[in-house]
Amino acid sequence: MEFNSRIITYGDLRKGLTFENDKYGIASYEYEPRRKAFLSNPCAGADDDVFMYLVEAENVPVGRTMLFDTRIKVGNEILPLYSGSALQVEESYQKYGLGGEIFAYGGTIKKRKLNLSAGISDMALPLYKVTKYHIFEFPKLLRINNSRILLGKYGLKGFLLTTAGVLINYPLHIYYFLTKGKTRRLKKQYKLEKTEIVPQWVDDIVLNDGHKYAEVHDQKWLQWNLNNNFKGHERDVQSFYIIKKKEENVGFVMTKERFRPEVQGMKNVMIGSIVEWGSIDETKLNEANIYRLVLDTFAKDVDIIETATNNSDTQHELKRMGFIHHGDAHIAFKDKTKQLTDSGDVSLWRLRYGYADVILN
Amino acid sequence: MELKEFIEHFAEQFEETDASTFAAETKFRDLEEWSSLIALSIIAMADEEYDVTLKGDDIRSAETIEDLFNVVKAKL
Repeated sequence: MEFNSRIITYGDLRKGLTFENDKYGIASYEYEPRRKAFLSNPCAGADDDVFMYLVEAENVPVGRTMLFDTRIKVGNEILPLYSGSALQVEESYQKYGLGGEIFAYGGTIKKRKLNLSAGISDMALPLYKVTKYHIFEFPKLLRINNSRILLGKYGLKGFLLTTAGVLINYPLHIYYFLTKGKTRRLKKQYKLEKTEIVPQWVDDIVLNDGHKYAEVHDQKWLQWNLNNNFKGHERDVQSFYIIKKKEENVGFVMTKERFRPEVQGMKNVMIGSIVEWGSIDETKLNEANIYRLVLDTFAKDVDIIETATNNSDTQHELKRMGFIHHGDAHIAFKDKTKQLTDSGDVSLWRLRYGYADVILN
Repeated sequence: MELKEFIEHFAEQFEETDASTFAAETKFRDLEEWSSLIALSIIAMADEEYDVTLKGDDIRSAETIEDLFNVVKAKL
């Protein structure tokens, strides 16, 4: 089997692309929303930068990855950082080991000295391990709002599904109500104000939280993520909230809601995620309390609410709110310069669930 | 660029294969531990140690470790 590789640049993307022989939909994957998102990236690549690395078998695209620019804070410095998205090989070609080759390509681009990925699948994780990325693993937690999607996964239908759903949802929501005492007290002090425009003052929080390393989630980056997503489904939304105490801005939180036709055997699922947050003073308004405040903002049809955190106190509090541990989130970082010798120390990192392209997905 | 050093770097990508197994004439694809993941780590090694970009075709066209060394050397 003969394979050839092809590079599509940001310049090509700006001109607009058409795809021939794309019978597996590899090259045209989520084309319109991704084109919009990648080109409106505040760090969007120059015309000659690589947007997509495509591998073809007899001129048919069978594997690809997309590359995009971002930034990292290292102490007081902001440095260019690179990431990848949508690494995929058509199933019938996976036996040729193309995934590794496609993955490797991104790491060999000369200017890509610092690389980061998040939302890494279980299938892709070994690629990061074998190429000696620092991998930060932290718990994902989810709370079930609607048990019907789980029951449907196990084959229940019709009247049985409806009845079982009611029987399980009712006590579930009673539990959630009974554990909301702290939330009710918090809501007397703090208000959430939804906004379409991310305020500039968030920079003071995200760039000065005391950690040495962080993907830069400043106003520009947050606004980009607020305005875009990769699937463009009508029900896919992102929301940004300012947290106020009286009239003072004391923090922010960002969420997303996604419709997925199928997730791990569950059909037609609405997933709500808490993806970013910040507090001017975490001794007064901490991560767990921000989650408490934002839980009620999700739409009524959201079936599952999920997040991920590497803070053990927050994990404990989330479990008290009815969240359960369900897998792990991964962020992988590689420093090819070998100068950031302490970058493998997770305690030096400001980590969030919404890293790299996780919010956009 | 020395062949001996390249063989050492090559061997470092394997966790379960004894270092004495690796020589210039070793047919690396015959090694039990060889996999596409190891191929990936070889690509990463060539990039980090020699600043050379290897492609999948480069590895597929090489039979021995010395063949691969020559490919990397030619790209310097």
